[in-house]
Amino acid sequence: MERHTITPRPGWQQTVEEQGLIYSLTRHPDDSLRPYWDESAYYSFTLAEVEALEQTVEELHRMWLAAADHIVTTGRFADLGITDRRVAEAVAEAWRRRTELPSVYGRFDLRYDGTGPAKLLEYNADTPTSLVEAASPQWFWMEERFPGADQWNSLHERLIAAWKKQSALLPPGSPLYFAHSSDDELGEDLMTVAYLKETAEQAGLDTDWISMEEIGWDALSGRFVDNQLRFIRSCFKLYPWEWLTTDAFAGHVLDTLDNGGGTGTTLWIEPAWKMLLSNKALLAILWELHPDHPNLLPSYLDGPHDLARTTGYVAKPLLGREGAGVTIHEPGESATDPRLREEPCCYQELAPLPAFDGNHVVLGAWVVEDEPAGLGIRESSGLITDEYARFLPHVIL
Amino acid sequence: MADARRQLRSGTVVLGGMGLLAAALTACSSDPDKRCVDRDSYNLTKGYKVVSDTNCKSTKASADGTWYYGGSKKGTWVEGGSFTKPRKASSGSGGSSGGHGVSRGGFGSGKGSSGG
Repeated sequence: MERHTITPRPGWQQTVEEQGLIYSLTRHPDDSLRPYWDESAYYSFTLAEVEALEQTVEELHRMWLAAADHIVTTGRFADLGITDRRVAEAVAEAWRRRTELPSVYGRFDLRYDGTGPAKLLEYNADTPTSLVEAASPQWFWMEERFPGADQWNSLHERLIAAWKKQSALLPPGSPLYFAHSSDDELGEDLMTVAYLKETAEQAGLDTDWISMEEIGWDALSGRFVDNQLRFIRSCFKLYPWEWLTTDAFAGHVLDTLDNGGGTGTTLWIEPAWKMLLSNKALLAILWELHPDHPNLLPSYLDGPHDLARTTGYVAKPLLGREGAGVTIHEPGESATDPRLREEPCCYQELAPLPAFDGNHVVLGAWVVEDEPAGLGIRESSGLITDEYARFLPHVIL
Repeated sequence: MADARRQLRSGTVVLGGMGLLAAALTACSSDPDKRCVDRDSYNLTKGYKVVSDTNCKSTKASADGTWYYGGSKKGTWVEGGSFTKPRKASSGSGGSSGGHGVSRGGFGSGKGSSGG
């Protein structure tokens, strides 16, 4: 794994915008606009490195599914902060019927520097973004800069294949809606949904648009409806389950939930069991089930344990996204006051992101259905990969 | 055996309608009643100064460029609008009842981006 600098293509910004990355610049707190898509450098990997990472991702995904099963069979929902009995029941039922529920994709964030084993930082399996740049502009970049080279990136093909394979699980006679929240001004959520919708269409599915805010509840029929009052039988939502189950319509979601096999009137993708995977409590439960696993970092729910004085630790809110609420604690720093955070957190060993030319790197490894499907690399100036991170392309040489 | 090396890339990527959508979104704002203004430019008679959309598009903690909804535009200035986004067919808590006994706005609570 190496970082190389390279001259960006002339007109790169327009190019990647045409390829779906309409948020190619990021405004920083100092008010400057800097590239989010950063092709002034790229990473190269050997095939052996990528194949090892693929194996790691496959194994981690299997371990997460086993951990989800453990939570459902032992009823440990409270450890995940899921205290609503109805929600816990819906999640458990979704897990039991998971072969009847379409599920599409997820992204593992890994700490990796090309030397030791990759370490799992977290898994976003409910509403992962940064998909568009990984699947599209990154692929076209390789076609232009390294024609004939390879890239860990079969996202496009695998997404189409996943829709094709799972189309039989969709309720017939009604389009699959694709919903994003119109509160996202950046356009990232919209383009992520647009891209997934495109792959579903290429798989032959009948699709339609709606925003989460536009989804209507028809009290007469007791059904969710679109803007033309047509029933919404199935919907891909880039909208986390913890909001779906706490919003004003939460009761309706649970009342009408098609939890597989036509058990209700509205089926949501990703399915409810993804709530188990996206919860950071899983990191601690995984460590409990697989202590000293080479790809896991020590993680706990009840406090930092000895991490407070040995390696330092990172406190991650169970449901945070894009680095929000994550705090870093150097070893010894809190020796006098290893106070727990108010909100439920996962306390994970501090494993500083490796720096390449001074840039902290995190690998986003994609899973489509149950298969490793590709890689996206984000760089940040600090140790937390937040909304100011930059996306860099990669190639296998 | 020369080509036996396994490929990890998609053979081809076809964007279809998504490319068109991206072009439409970058070419012009999708909502005609929404303008990017300089929040610090307020003038008692003229309102806020309209600036390039790029000042609003790439931020989550904007200091300067802010979307301004509605209002009337005179030259490069806009006034009489609001920094608060109007909710479609929705008001108050828990959505609204329109015709046909259909309520909307029961999802989405102004939390911003849903992805991560």
